[in-house]
Parts: sequence; C-alpha cells; structure tokens
Amino acid sequence: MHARLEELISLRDRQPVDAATVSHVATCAPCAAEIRRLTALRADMTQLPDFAPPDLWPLIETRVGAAPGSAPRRRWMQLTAAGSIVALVLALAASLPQVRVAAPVLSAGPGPQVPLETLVARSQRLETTLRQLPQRPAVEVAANSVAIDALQSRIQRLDMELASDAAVESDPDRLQELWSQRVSLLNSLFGVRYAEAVHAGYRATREEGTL
Amino acid sequence: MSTFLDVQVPAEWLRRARAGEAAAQRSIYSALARPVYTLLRRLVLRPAVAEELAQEVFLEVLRNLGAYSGAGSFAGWVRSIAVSRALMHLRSPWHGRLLPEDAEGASPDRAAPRAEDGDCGSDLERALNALPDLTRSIVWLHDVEGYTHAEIGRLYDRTASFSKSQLARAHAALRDALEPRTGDQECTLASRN
Repeated sequence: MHARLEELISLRDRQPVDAATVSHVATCAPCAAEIRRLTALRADMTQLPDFAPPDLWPLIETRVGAAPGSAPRRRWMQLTAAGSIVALVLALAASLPQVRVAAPVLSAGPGPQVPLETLVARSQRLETTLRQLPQRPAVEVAANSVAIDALQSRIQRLDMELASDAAVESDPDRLQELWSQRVSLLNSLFGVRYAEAVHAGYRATREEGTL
Repeated sequence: MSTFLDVQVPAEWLRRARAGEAAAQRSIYSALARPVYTLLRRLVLRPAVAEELAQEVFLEVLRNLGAYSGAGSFAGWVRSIAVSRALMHLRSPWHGRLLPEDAEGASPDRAAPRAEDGDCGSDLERALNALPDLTRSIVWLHDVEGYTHAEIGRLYDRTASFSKSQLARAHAALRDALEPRTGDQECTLASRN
C-alpha cells in the first residue's frame, strides 16, 4: 500500500514519520513523485502575486487619532475623545434598550422559540454594536477583564462548534440552542463592556475637571 | 510575493510612533500594508472584508505598540494580529450565513479574487478559493506562512493532529481540482490500514 497523503506531507516538511513509511517511499516512484508535486505546489503558492492594498491610511489616521501637534492640541483632543465616549454611550443607551441589561441566561429556556434567522440577526446586530463601543480602557479593572475573557472564550467555543460540527447543522434543535446561547452570551458581554465604557467615560471627564 | 519576513521596521519608527508621531505611524502602515492586505485576502477572500479587517489590524497595532515586547520581529507580531483578526472573522458563525441585507451575491466568499486587479487569477488561486474557509486558512498558514501544526492547533483551539488532517484534506482537494486523476497516480489516498 502507498503512503497516505498526511504522511507524504510530513515527509515533504521533514517531519518524523514511521520507519515503514520512509522505507516504502524510498522505493516507490508514485509516492516520490507525489512528494515532488506537493513541494512544487507549495512553491507555487508562495509565488502567487500580492494583492495591491487600497489606501486605508486616511481612515486609519482618523481613527487612531495620530497627531504630531503640540500638547495643548493633544489636550483638546483628549477632551473631545472623553466627550465622544460619553455621547456614544448615551446614544447606545437610547437606541438599544434591548441590550441595556446583561442577560445571564444561557439558553432559550422553555419560552416561545425564536426563529433561527432572528437569532442570527440579533447576534449580528450585537456584534456590530460591540464593535461600536469605545476601545477598552488602558487601565483595566481585573474583574471586568476576567468576565470579558470568560464570555469571549465561551463564545469562541460556541463558534467553533457552530462552524465545524457537521452534526449540528443537521440538528435544528441543537442549532437553535447554540444560537440562543450565543445571543445570551453576547448580551452579557455587551452588558459588561457597556458598564465599563460608562465608568471609563465618567472617569475620563472627571479627570479633565469637567464634572 | 512579498512576505512579512521581508519587512524590516526600524526601532526609530517604533519609538516615534509610540510617541504619537503620525509620520512614523504612516511609515509603519506603508511598510506592512501590502503583506497584511494580501494575507487577509488569502484568508477571507472578500475585498471589502479584507479592507475592514486591515483597518482593524492597523488600529490594534498602532494603539498597542507598547505591547510589542521586541522579542521576535515586529512584522511577525503584526502578522499574528492579522491572523487572529481573520480567524475571528471566519469563526463568526453568521459569516457563513450572510443575511439578505449584507449579501452581495449568492456566494460572496467565492467571488473571483482578482477581477479588480484586471486578472482572472490562476488555476491555483481558483482552487484555493474553492476550498472551505477552514481548510484554506490552514493550508495557507502552514504552507505559505510557515506556521507549525502545533501553532495552528492552538489558533483553532484544537490539536496539531487536527491541523495535519485538515492540511491533508486541503491538499487532496487541491490535487483533485488541479490535476484530473489518472489510475497510476492514485497512490496517496489509499489507506495502508
């Protein structure tokens, strides 16, 4: 029998394989040819042309807040940034009442079943909203960080299951449950991040002496 | 193809960029824009998504320059952030379930990759783009970017064996796409068990 593809790739990459495979490949012309083909394919991939990037710098510069200006200018920018944080948090609070309170519920429970597409849409909206929150503060509160890390890890595990488990795709109930959990976890994550942003915004404006 | 390993970022740029100097930050962006964008295009395919992710990558890089310890190359550090961002996008379940309001076509992630560059792309590019996201990202990270199976396993919260099996699956698909089989050459998928 010939070597398996996984073994041939290991040989191409000079990774250890069992002695029987090495002996076989040493005397098998098709297997040796396959290793040469795999090597050539890797070389071809590394030679694929680049993609010309669009000029993103104006957008990045605006968002990163880079400025070569003097200290008074930076202070003005800090004040503006602090005000923007407060304004954004207030706007979010007004526009997103459904996510104002973190919901620590981890499943849909026995209540009426929400359609899967609705759960997906909610999940998408929550992720968009999370991205619109201010960056996390430079000085983090340990409890917040622990909670955020834990929630993000659980969301990541759910995502892995949703993305790679074929059995889930064919089980509508399980799919429903996972998406329901995902929405709940995102709600909780938003709650923590929202509270953190409010606190950071309050602290920033107080330090600037405006409160 | 330019790679991250080719990019040298002087320590002086980093020092000035950390101090908030826009010119230095722009120099860092200019040095790394091409490899970052190319990597993202290879991983996520869609130009619009790659642009958005590239912005996020550079924002994270420039806002967290202090977190770069100096161990290892700076370009390698930027690459790890780009990979993390791309995989985060690919892991997001609704990435594969685009809602009507976001859909740009029936198969947005399978759009012709180089149409905007005036090039229809090679057979190899088309074969790569036809792979599922997971296998495509693994074959690219391993064969082109040089990630080890252990590193890839960690990125996906899986094992090195998972990476090896996905890589083999990717190569089997690529072979099928690129070389119609002939009887004599069907050696590698035969199991010895």
